[in-house]
Amino acid sequence: MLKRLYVRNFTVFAEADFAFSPGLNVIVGANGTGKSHVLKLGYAVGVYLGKLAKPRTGQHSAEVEAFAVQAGLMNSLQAVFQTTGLWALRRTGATTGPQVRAVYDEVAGEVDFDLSRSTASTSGVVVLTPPNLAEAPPAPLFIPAKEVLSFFAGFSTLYRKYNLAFDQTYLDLCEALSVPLLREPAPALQPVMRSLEGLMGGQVRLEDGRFYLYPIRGGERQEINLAAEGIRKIATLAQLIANGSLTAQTTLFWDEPEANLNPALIKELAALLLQLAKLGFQIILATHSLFLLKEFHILTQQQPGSIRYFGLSADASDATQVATADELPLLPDIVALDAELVQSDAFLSVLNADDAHV
Amino acid sequence: MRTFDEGRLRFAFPQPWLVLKYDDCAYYRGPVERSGAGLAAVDFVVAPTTVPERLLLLEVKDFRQRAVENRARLGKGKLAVEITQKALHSLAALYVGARSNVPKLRPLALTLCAPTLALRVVLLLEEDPLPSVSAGGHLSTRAKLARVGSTSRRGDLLLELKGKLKALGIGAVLYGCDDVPAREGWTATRL
Repeated sequence: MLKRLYVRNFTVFAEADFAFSPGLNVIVGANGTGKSHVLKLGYAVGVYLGKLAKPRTGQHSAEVEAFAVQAGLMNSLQAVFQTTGLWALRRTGATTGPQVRAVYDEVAGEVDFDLSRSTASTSGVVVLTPPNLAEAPPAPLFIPAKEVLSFFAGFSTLYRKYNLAFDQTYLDLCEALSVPLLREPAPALQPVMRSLEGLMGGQVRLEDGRFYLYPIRGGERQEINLAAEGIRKIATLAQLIANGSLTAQTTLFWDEPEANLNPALIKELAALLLQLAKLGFQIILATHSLFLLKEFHILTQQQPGSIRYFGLSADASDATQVATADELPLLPDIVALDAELVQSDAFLSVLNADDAHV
Repeated sequence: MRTFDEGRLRFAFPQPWLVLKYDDCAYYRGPVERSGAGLAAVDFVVAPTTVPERLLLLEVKDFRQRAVENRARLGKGKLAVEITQKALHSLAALYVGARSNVPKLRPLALTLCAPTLALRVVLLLEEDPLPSVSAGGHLSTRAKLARVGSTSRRGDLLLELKGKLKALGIGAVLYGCDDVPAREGWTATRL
């Protein structure tokens, strides 16, 4: 589980410290304040640690092992951020290179690395504190804002063969989705699965490399491409739980879970995410949706503190500042709220002005 | 200006305007109620001295200190139905009264029968004050959330009211005491 992520001179951040809760974490901020960067960084480091934990043969020297550690991190960052070089991850105008420190439950100490050796022509990572794995951290999952089920068929093959304009998170997600279903989901997750199936009106199944929706009340299966995009996002979550890719040990990073969901589905999804958090799932999501934030606040009215919010906003120098709060009303500067405040005032004025002449 | 009190609110209209405190007037309390038809009434019927003729059906809702008990009424469309019903009931009774030459309605009869008469429902919805801007000009997130909630709810209510009345050729506006525009020519104040 990711406990803390500290960044310095990284993309839009001059310096920021994210102390994540073991449950639901919500990152909110305007476009360009680095929400997705935080998710991708957390994911890339988590994937790197997952690969690092795989058994070594012990045939290589310490130097080769150290090189492998650095190369693994470099590859993970480059694949997830899909940059031409890690130098692109430097904050514009910073005099020193980016530094990252990540703290995990499964790592004794910290994962501490420095990208300052990177230049426009070379990529380099210096792992300042080599990770000391107390146990194998499970690989995290990343659900991007775009849904993937509609282009799932053949995507992994195409991705490996061609240089596609998709980052590694899409490939990783497609691979996680393609895992066979568990014989029996964990009993604690069965109510969650029932809720998800209720929302979809059916069960999602992978057959011959394509996803289908089987209606609960029987009848013909429906190609997933014909289902609404919001339903495909719910189906993605259902498949990841049903095949055991997403467990209470897996950190889930989800970028804009509300994208393409209608308000009724957003309400249901908010309740499900909280339900998963209560079952011990660590979820780190980024959102623009004031509707989702308000729903979280409504749902946690009886249990304040069950969500940790991170508010991202740009300061005068365009560096992103991070505010942390365990209750939505305590979070300053929610851009979506300011925008809605202006819009709701304007909407009422316009409605009144419509009949001003009467 | 002529003033009228409705509960804990005071309304002031220009002297020459025709203002009928409709739900208290002898016509409504007498023949209309005695008809047993269950006709509801708006609080005020107002005819400004403007050309072309206009008639305002003003309904007052003072929900201060009663936000909780009225939340469902505000949020589930009940209030929009209630106001629409009051407006249509009032109009029906007013037209019948004008046709019958009811003395109290005589000054309004010409306005009511004007072929170009514009009709408008005015809902004066007074609610508990919203958190205000602090001395430093800053509004806290809690205050912003409260404001968004209230303004959105009022916008939704007005949209719903307009949706019901527009097809009947009746306009609708929604104000609180503090946001009645100067162009209206009348004011509402808290007592």
